[in-house]
Order: sequence, then structure tokens, then C-alpha cells
Amino acid sequence: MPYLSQAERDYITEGVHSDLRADGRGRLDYRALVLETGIISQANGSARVRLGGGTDVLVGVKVEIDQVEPDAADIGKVVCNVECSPSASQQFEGHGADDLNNELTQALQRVLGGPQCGINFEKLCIIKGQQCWIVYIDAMILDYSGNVMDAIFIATKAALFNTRIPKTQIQDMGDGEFEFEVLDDVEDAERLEGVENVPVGVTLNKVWTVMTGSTKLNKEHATPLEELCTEAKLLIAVNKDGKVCGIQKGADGSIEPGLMSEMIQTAKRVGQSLIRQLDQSLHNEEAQVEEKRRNGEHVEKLGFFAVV
Amino acid sequence: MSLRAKSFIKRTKKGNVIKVIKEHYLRDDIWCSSAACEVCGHTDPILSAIPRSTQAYTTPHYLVPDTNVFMNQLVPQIDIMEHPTIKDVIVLQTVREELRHLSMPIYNRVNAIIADKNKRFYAFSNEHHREAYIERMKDESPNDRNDRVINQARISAIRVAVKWYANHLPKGKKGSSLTVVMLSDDRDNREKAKSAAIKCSSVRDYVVGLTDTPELMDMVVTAQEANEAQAKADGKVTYEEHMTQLQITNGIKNGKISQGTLTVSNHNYLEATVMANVEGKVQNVYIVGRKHMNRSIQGDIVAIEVLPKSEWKTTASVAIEEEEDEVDNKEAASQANSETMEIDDALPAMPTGKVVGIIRKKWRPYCGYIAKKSIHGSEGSAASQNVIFRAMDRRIPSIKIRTTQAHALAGQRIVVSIDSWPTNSVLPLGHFVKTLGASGDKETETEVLLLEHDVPFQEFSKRILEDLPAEGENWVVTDQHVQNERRRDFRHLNVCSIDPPGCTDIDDALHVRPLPNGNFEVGVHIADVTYFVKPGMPMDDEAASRGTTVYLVDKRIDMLPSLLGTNLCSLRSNVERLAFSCIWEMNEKAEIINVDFTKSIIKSKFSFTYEEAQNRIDDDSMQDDVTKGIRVLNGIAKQLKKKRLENGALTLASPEVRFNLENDSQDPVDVEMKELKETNALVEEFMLLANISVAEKIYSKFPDSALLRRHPTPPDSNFEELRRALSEFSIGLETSTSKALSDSLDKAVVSSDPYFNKLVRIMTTRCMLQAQYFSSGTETEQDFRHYGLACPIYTHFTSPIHVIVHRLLRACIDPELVYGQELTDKMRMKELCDNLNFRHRMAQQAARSSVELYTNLFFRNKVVEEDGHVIRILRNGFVVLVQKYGIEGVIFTSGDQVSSGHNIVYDQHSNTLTSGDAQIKIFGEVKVRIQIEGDQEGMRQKMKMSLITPHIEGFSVPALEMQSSKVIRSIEPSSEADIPAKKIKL
Repeated sequence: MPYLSQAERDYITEGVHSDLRADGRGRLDYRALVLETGIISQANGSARVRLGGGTDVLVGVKVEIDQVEPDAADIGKVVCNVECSPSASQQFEGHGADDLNNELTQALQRVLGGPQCGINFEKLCIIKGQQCWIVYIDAMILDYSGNVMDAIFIATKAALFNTRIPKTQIQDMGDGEFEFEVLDDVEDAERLEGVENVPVGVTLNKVWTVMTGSTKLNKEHATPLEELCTEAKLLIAVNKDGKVCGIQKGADGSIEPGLMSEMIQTAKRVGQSLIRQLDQSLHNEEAQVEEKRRNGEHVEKLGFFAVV
Repeated sequence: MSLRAKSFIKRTKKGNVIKVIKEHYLRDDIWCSSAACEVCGHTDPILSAIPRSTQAYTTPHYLVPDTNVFMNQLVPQIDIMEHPTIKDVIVLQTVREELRHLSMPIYNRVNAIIADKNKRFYAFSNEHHREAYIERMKDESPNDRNDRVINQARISAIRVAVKWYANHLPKGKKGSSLTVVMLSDDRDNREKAKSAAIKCSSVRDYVVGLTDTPELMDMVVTAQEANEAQAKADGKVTYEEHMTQLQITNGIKNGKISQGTLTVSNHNYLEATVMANVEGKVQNVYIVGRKHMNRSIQGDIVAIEVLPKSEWKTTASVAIEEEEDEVDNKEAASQANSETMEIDDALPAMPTGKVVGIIRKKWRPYCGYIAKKSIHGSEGSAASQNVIFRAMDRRIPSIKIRTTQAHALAGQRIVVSIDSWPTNSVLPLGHFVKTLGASGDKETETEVLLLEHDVPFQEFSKRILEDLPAEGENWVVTDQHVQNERRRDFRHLNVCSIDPPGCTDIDDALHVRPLPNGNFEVGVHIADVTYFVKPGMPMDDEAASRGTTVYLVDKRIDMLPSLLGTNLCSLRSNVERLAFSCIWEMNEKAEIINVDFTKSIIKSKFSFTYEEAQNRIDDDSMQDDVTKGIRVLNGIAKQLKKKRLENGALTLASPEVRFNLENDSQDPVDVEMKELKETNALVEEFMLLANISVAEKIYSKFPDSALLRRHPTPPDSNFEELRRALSEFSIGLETSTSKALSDSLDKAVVSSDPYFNKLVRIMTTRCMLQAQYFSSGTETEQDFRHYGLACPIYTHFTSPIHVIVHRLLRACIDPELVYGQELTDKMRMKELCDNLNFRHRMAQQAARSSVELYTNLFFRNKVVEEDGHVIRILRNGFVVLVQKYGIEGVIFTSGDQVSSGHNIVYDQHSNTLTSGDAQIKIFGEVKVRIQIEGDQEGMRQKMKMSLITPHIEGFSVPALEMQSSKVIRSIEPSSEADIPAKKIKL
């Protein structure tokens, strides 16, 4: 852990208190965000999100066919995994990232693994009682400079939006037996149903000020230094309708009930506006690609060169 | 160059789904290949500077066909593009790729046209052309069926390419007056093209403009027509729908459905059998009637469902003489159906089934003629009409075609392709492909039979001929061959060959000499083809694909160019030739002491005919070394044969005949049974011995990939009918082993009928299964057995057509020889064997058809009376074999052309036809009148037999006066049944 002096700590917390953060943002302002989808050709969907100059997350979505679990209803499922690249931060070297990997994976899985995920899991079932699609979401932290969870959520939502599931045709083999065939045309693949309901995560940090005692201070998109001043943090997953889809508390400190409900309200507001903007830009991007293709122009994905 | 990506989704064997991405680069150097273009950098333009113009499109233009021009809704329509009048065509890569997915045969045919320089078809790589490339888009129309999407992508790609050409051509000064016309049968595509100002036409409209070739009109397949027929017959569904591919796969998995190849009876095109696994046993399943055959055609691989036992077929077979003409005559079909459905408990019911789906269609172009009766209208009318086409192959149903040249085609042999067979059409629908010539003409008929048996009879191409030694006929054996190739020099030995008279391809030669220890050295020498045909040469590929040399009555279709076949690889006398030799040391009792294989050089001293060799043996005054040698060989051969027969080798028979042809016209003037002399057997014995020795040798070295030949043990059920017939004569038929069968055949003698034994042997031959080539890795060792020859392992070494066996053997004896996969890959060997088997079967059938053709020519304008034997009883007739000519024919007792003024009754229990005192039963002797008559159409020359004796009132014909049958010289048929000639493969 980098050492943070009392003076630095005061500077940050005081800044937060005055709604003016060290980098010039307000308390609830997001950092600059760059987003691109469809950059991994082999995956069924992918997106890359870069926050400010630091945090960089790549999410790939891959769908595979599996047997429906015998006891479960006829539904498909989502399996998440988050991994930090050792090059992202010094602390990730060796097994340094293991704990964080687990924490992030669990957080993502808890929100997206259940019905609150928004995706229609029943539609993922291909043949009842037999086969279904499994949606694998793999997030990779390429660069780390704070607030990685929010970035993962944004990238995941964008990647799912970009995901196309191969189209299947069910054939009746007689005797109540069915078999399906996968259509080989990529253009036939279909978008996941309910993808617009996928929540984003909003992480709020409570920063304790020495001066005033129990002051409530929330902030969005904390930088690593800010995160060091955090006493407690709360991840709130919110969908486009403002419904809370999951809450997870982190760090050592406590959050009093009043502050908690205020944080949730804030998260709802911030999350909904984030989703609106995100959807807007995703649709814009898609329309541009379509337009280019229709005119016979070549669509060049910048991918890793998007932000330098 | 610039990079694009192409992707598609694939399902792996394990069941998972993966997305495959392929890089795709676009180039600027793909030229238009027009001779008129001055912009492009091509050097050898394919498309001519001034292509043709038509009435509708008056500017000279190139054609750009859409995929549906080659294949319209899974119906091949490529014949039009193959027509010589269609030239200067641009075939887009997009179209070719799609065809490759739709149908490999069509794709190969398109490639063949492109390869033909005269056709001037240019394969334009539009997918890699920077300006003609278009990204694939998802179809936005509500109809999102899979094929639709591909269509959309394809047709937009075609339009872009056409547009590019249209803009590009005028850029060159010379090309300014050129244009392109897109051909497409997709209305949607044409409309979109029109709105983009692209010239386009449907195939039909375009062909109308080609006024000089009206026959093209008949080749147009229009979906419209099929639909019309559909609408007309709506509600009158004749056939059950076929099951889907998946239902079939599933059905086969759970045992409800069996699969097999449909074999239609030669006597009745509405009766077929399928060898399939029923109740755990592989047996013949009968398919009876049009309805149950359900649109499957001879050779199709079909899925069948076995009917409940109560519906199993129990009666004898019916022969159908002529198919009924009325297309909608459903009664006939159902009648034929019900007739055979009578239940009789006395006879064991035979498994009967129905076709529920066709797994692989074996449709091909058929040779035949138009049924005269079906032609309407007055002569010279050019109106399009529906006519009935009859294939030469009687197992093929009549085909309905639409033509404008019906009158012109009457009396011609034509080729027709099947387009479709909808459920509501009794007959399949097809279209005219080409005319071969007048029926009855010898050349035409020979071409017909070659086409019908899929015999490749075109001249050898230049590339293949280039593989021949440059010296040509002057090629000689040099010292190099002696020194460099470890060839043993046998030039000093008294080698000689024994062949039929007039044989020009002498494959084998023999020698014998006494050894100091009292034993004999016997050598079989086979022409060394491997020296000339090296693996990988075009000549090798061609030979492998031709598989065999086809012997017709008047000509031979060579497998190898004749320079090799009849000269350099023919072991002529007094010429030095390269050979492959099999040398045995044998003692007096014909026991093999030692065997050795070697490459050699020989110089044959004599080429005998069978007769000459026989004369030498018989003429005691001849005491030279060669003659003595032949006598020794003859002695050994007799002992070998004796041993072989003791082991249970079968002596079978077939009614083979030989034609004496008039020299100039090649018309047959005489017919005789193939004569068999002791010397035939002599050669035969040593060839068998060589084959067995070689088989053992190559199998020991190549356990997985030795090319062997086997003759499977025929299933007992094959003999059922014969056994029943023989029991009448209290003759038993033991078929458990070939030895037992051989013994019971020897005992099958009836003193009153000297021909009886041969007849039984002929009929036994027909119960046998086909001998096959196979790769040793694909069968278990027990299955290697050659049933007919009663030896555990066998191959074909003695005929140089089996280059592979030679190569294998060479690899066995020459440790330094480097050989590749071609000798060790068992799957490749299997493919080769499959082809060899197919070609072999076809060659045999073609030879048989050729004999039939000449028989017909021979009997033309003659009426002959002859003795014959009944070999099969049918419900409505019987089959007579006339041994003198080796011909057989059906005499019908009921049917359209038979007067009903007789009272012949079929008795199921005794399997006889009776009328009063007269009885017709199997093996019964009859006297018949033979004459050739055209059928009602006069198109299918057919031998007609009528019964003379036993006399049946109202049925038999009176005997003729004697002079009419004088024309034929009578030859005593040899009563000794034997392996007939060495060209017949065992």
C-alpha cells in the first residue's frame, strides 16, 4: 500500500467535503470514459472501457452449449470471471491479484447470475430439458487506477449489448425427440433478450473527515489515492428503471442507516443517468457501423489503439 | 491489399459452437480478362473482344450468370451453360462458392467448363477484388429464412460485380461498345438490378433470343412449370412426403428405419429390393409398387421402413412388359400393388417395406427416346408440349419432359435429366439435354451403352499422352534397364504367350524349364506397366479413374493409351519387353517348392492362340523345346486344377457367345459359343497361381493396404429358388461351403438332358455375389476368402491394369524403393477399390449390353426357331434361355399384348404354369421362335420370343418351315462347363 500522509489525506477529504476533488471534478462526477464494442473478433460480444487515463477493462462474452441442469428450470445461465492483468498494477504481481480477482468475480456474479441480471434466461434454453446456452463473461483488468468495479459493469453491459447468439433451428426427429442445428451465418445471430435491463454498478465511497466527525461524503469514481481515504464503500447495482439489483459493501468502516439510504438514492440517480448515456452511445456506435457497412465501407475497429 | 475478415459459425463434433474468423485480403490486380480491355494488365485474356449479341441484347455482351442459372431450386440446369453456343461468360467466385455448397457434381461441371478454353468462361474473383467486393449484410426483409439471407448477400455481390464490369469495360477504347448482361431466375434480383440500371434477363427470356439454337429452350428448367404442374395436380397427392434428414438419422439410430441401395428388378420396374438390416439380419427387403417405392430411382440410397408382416409379399414376381403411358393412371400402379399382395400361407412371406426417404439421390442424365404415342400435334409444329421419355435402362421410370422439338426428336436417341419429382406427379419431371443420333444406328447405340454404363470413352488428353515415353513406338529395352534396375535377364528363355485369336494386348507370358534336381522352374511374366506409369502422373490418375479396359463386341475402350496397352506393354513375340515375373520351383506333383518375384526382361518366342497351342500339344511330331514346355505346363496345370477342385473351387458357367463380324461393316454375320480348349485352362491355372502367390506376398508386407480380391460367401437365401426347382428332380443343393456346392453341382445331372448340368451351373452363377477388390485393412482376415476359387487370399496381378498390385509387389521385393502414402493409406486404397469395383461392374454390364446390341443386330430381319430351357417362372410369364445364342427372353402369358384365348394358370405351390396337359416349369425344355421386333414405339429393339412347344392352344405359335432358320450355322455347344475365357475375371 502506498503510504498516504496525514496532510495528503486531509487535502483529499477536505476537497471532497467542498465538492471539489483533487483532479477538478465534483463529488459525483464520473471520470472521462472511452468505450468501444466488438473488438474481439472471436468472441460473441466484447467491449473495452477506459476511465480517465488509468482504469482499463476489456470484457469478452462467449456463448457455449451445455446440458440443462436436471433440477433447474429450463433456463440458461451466466458465468462471470474477472482477472487482473499483472501489468495493470504493481500490487497484482505474483498472487497479489488473487483476492481482488475473487472479490470482483463474486460481485459481478452475484449481480448478473440471478434474475436481476435482466437477461431472459428462459430464452437461453434451446431444447427444453436438454440443451441451453451458457453465457461466459470474462473481464480483464488491463490497467488499474481506481474504481475498477464500475468500469467492469459498464464494459460488461456494453459487451452484452454487442453479443450475438448464433441462431438455432429446432428439428423434430419424431418420437418426441428434438435436435437442433446451428445456422452458420454470423449475420443470423441474434441479440440477447432483455439486454437493456442489465444493471450497471455504482460505487460510492464514504470518506471520513477528521475535522467534522461524522460527516457524510460520497463520491463517484474514486482515484486510487481517494480510495485510500475511504472508510467504507458501497457497490450498488442499478438498472435502467432505477431498480436496485444488488448491493455489496466493502472496506472496514461502517455505514449508518441514514447514510445508506442516501447513498442508494444517489446511486439510483447517478446509475440511471449513466445507463441513459451508455445506451445512447452504444446505439450511436452500432448505427454508425451499420451505416458504413451499408455503404460498402470497411469498418475498422481501433480496439487497443482507441485511447493513447 | 487491404484486409477484411470473413466469419461464420460452426458446430464442433463435441457439440459446441465456435465462431471462425478468416482473414480476407482485397487486391487491385484482378483483371477483367476481356480481350477488348486496354486498362487491365492481363496477358492472356479469356473473354473474346467481340462476344455475341442476341435479338434482345443487340450490343455484344458478356454474360454473368447467377447461381440459379446453374442450379435452380436444387434442380441442375447447367446443361444450357454447357451448350456450345454459350460463350464469353463471367463466372463469379460468389456463384462458384455457393454452387460448391449446393452440389459438388454441378460445381465440378462448372469447373470443367471454365477449364475448357473454347468455352471462354472466366472465373472472376470478385470476392477478392477491391472494387467488386461487398460486405455481407443481414437481410432486412421480414422473411429471414436462412437461404434467403444467403441469397440477399449473394445477389447484391453479383450486382456489384456486374456493375463494376459495366462501368469498367467502356474505359478501354476497344471495349467501349461492350456490355454485360446478368442472367438470373430470381425475380427479386432482376428487379433490384433493373433499378440499378443493370442489364439483366431470365434464362428463358435470354434463350428465346438465341434463335439459331431452338433446342436450348427445352433445357430451361423453370420453377414456374413445376409449380404449374403442382397446381394442376393439387389435392391429388400420389406419394407420401419423404421424412427429413434428421428423422431418418434418428430412425436408423433407433432401428425403425433401415438404409440400403434400391435395386430395381430388371423385369419389373415397379418391384425393387433393398439389402438392409432387418431384425438383426441383413437380407433383401422387397419394395413393391410405385407408392411404396415413393419416387426413389434405381441406385438411390434409400431409407426404408419394413411393413407389418401381414403385408409382406408372398407371391412370385410379375414381369412388366411396358410401362403404362397415362401419366395419371394411378390404377395401374395400385393394381400391380394389390396383385402381389395376395396372401398365401403356404409360401414363406418375404420381408417387404416401403421407402420413407431418399438419403442420396443417384439421378444422372439418362439415354432413351420419346414415346411416340405421347407426341401430339402435327409434324413441324414448334409448340411446346409435354411428352413421355423412356430411358433405355428399364429400371428407370418414364420421365415427363417439355419440348418444342417433339417431332424432330422422334426416332432419335436423346439424353434427358430429371429435374424433380413432386409428390403429386406420378412420373418424374425432366428436361432434354442432347441428341445422340438415330436409334438403331450402331454408332449411336454403342455410345448409348457407354454413356449408360458411365464408361469414360473420350480420347486421352494431351497431358496424358505427354507421359508416354518420348521414343514412342521405337522405344526399346536398353542396357540401362538391365544394369540399373536389378532386372533379371530372361531374354534367353523360351517364353511364349497363349491368347485368344486376334489379341493385341498380350498381358502375360509363360515359360518352363527343367532344373538339374528334376524339378521344374515355371515362370509367369506380366508386362511391367509400373515402369511407364509412375505414381502422380496424369496418366496414373486417369488409369485409376478408368479402372479397367472395357471390351465391347466391336471395340475396346482402353484404360491406358494404346501405345502402352497394345505395344510397349504387350508381350509380343520376338520383341524385348520389360516384365514382372513370378518364378516358382515346382516338382512333378505340382507342389510349390519355392517362389520368387522379380523384375525382368523377356523376349517372347511365340504368341500362340489357344488353338495353335492345343495343336502343338496334340501333334506328336512336334518335339521342340517350346512344345515340350507347353506339354509340361499342361501337365502341371491339370494337377493344379485337380487340387483346386478338390479344395472346393467352383466350376460355374455363363452362356457366353462370340460374334463373327463382317470385316467392313462390322455387322455380325455369325454367332458361336465361346470355345474352350485345354490351353485356356492352362493359362488360367497359372494366372490363378501367380495371383495367389502375389496376394500372400503383398499382404505380408502391407497388412493394411494390400489390394486384394475377395468373393464373399453368398447367403443361403440366394439359392432358395434354385433349390426349390432342383428338388423336383430330387437333387439336393448344399451351399454351406463351396466344396459342398461344387459336389452337389457335380451330382446335378439328369440323364435325359445333357445340357441340364450346365444350366444348373449358369443358374448357380446368378446366385453368387459379386467378387470385389478391397484393401486388406478394411476387412477381417476371414473375409478375404475367395468363395468361387476356394482360396483364402487372392488378388489380380496378372493383368497389368492392376498397376497398384505391381507397385505393392515391387515395394516388397525392392528394399531400396522409396514409396509414399499411396501404397500405405488404407482409406485411399479403399476409395480406389470402390472405384475399381464400380468400373469393373460397369465394364461387365457394358460388355453384356454390347453383346445384346449385336444379338439384336444379328437377329434383325430373321426369324429363328430354337430349343431353350425355362429358367424362371413368373406369375405372368416365364424366362427362357436359348443356350445356342446365350440369350434369354421373357414369354408373357398375360398382359396387353397377349391374347387371352388360353387358359394358362399359375400354380404357386409347384411354381409352374399349367394349361391342360402342358406344363411349364423350371428346367423344362421348350422350343421357341425368336425374332426382333420393335416395341410399339419401334424405339426399343427387343428380342421377342414366342412359345412353339409345348403346344398350348391359343398361346403357342405354329412352327415355321425350315429354310428361315438355315442362316445360322449350327455349332455344337460344348457341354463341359468351364471358366469361359481368361478375360472374365474371377
